[in-house]
Amino acid sequence: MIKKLFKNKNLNLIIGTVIVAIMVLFMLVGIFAIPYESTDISASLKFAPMSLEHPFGCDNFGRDILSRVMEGTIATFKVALGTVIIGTFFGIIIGGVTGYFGGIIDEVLMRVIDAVFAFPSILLALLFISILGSGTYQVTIALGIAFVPSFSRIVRAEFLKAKNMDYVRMARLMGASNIRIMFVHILPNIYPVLISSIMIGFNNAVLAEASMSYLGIGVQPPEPSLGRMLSEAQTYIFKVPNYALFPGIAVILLILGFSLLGDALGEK
Amino acid sequence: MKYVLKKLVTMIITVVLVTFFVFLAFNLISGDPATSALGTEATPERLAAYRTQMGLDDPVVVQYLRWGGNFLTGDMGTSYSYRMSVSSMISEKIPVTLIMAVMSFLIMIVVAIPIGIYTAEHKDGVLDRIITVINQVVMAIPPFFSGILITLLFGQIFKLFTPGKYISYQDDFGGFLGYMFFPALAIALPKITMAVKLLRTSVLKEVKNDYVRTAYSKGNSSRQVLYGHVLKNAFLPVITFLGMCLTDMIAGSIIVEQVFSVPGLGRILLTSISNRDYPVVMAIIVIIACLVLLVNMLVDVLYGFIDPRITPDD
Repeated sequence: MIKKLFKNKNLNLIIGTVIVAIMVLFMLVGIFAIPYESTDISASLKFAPMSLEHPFGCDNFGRDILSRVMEGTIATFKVALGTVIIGTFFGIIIGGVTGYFGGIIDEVLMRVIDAVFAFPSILLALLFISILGSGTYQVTIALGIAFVPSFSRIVRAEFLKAKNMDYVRMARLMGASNIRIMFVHILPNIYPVLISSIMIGFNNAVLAEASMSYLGIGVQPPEPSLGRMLSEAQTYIFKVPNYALFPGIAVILLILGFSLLGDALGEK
Repeated sequence: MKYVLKKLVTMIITVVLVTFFVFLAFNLISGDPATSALGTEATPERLAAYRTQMGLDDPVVVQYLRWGGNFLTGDMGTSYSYRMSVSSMISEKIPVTLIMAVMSFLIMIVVAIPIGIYTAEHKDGVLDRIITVINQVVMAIPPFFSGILITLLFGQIFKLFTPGKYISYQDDFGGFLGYMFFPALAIALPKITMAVKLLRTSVLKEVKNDYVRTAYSKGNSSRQVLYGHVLKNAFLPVITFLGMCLTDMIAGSIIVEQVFSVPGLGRILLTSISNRDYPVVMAIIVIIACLVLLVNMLVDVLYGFIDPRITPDD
């Protein structure tokens, strides 16, 4: 029975969907029915153990960890979503133009992209943050820019492949404009590749956001964020392991869910 | 040889582009260097004198060339907040970060390659399935979180090292390596999982080729086919990935250094970012970017030697 289940290739899809659904539900509860105000400080609840009132316990300021993990997950999700939107938008435009038209624009833009690509994304994000200053919006923009090169490379490769295909030639013969061919004809055809690289990009963004806020750049206190919670929890890791455990699990589930989903969608 | 030369030229062009980009970004957006160096209370005359002295009124390209020339001779400017030369601040930290990256790279190779080959060899075996599932989960753990878990497990439960008690490589090299093993492990973990997955897929894809059937038909055992024929080809995509890993590890150390309080490049980079100490930030970013480009070029060259098919027209 178990063997049969493992052989099923859709297992990734099922588990991935379930995990993503759980995380989305978790965030929805955080938006509409958050149990406590995540910034409420209470001296009597300092390091309160896990209980029915506080399922994940309380932190060093007596704040409810469950509520903070909920809001932190939402914050991370927002940044990751923004990053992916920025990266995909510019990635499609740059990759589409360079791949479809080729020529001198392609040469110049790809050299620039290569130069930007030489930076590991964390380093590039740190570079932008040292210029823009730290904060949620700055981190989103910085990570978004950091993901443009990899997206545009993928899009460019797909456009290169597609532009000589029969359906594109037909569309050209019928008098469709370049813009129309690019966005109405080619784009829908390459979306399976895009979806899986968007998922990978999303995961990298979650990871990068968590790392950034762990370093103290990004979401500013007292607003909760998963990375910052982990860095605060590190001091008390032996005394109060649940403080570090739950934000950590939230990050892992978020990444795991989307990477399983990405794998499953990419296999088709 | 021509191939190596070509790669070298491409690398130098990219280095120039990258450094110019960094220089421009800091020069245009980071405000007036004269005010940053002399403070906001400096008189306009002193600011103007400083500008002429440092050549801040010259065109950007001239300034860039001067800065680049100084950089090559080891003069990376003066830190705003510590009033020290940047090169003396960071020269001792570079080995720390580099050793950490190299250690995690070695850990990755030692662990990932045998596991990858094993799982491909025993595809769909019980152990293969278990490893694949564990792999998928470990892949989702951010390095800084696995760092925290490693501190908890090895530092506080097994007491194999004292968390936060960094041993300098100048005092006790053995102790330094012993301490650095754990941050290196934290950096290596997610890469190990990716390398295992990639190697497994690559071997399984390679096995489907015709030459494998030919090798079998000549009477080779499956071990001979795997080690003598398949692996050579299956390693090709993995090498590119390994090169990317090394560069990622250099960058990833910035974060993991914080978890284990290792005073490497990442530590100064972060304090300098929050102090707005631009000369330091600029120097570290340029150094890391150049290291990354160098590794990329070496991988390309290595690739050309291993796979002669690439050399002629690329």
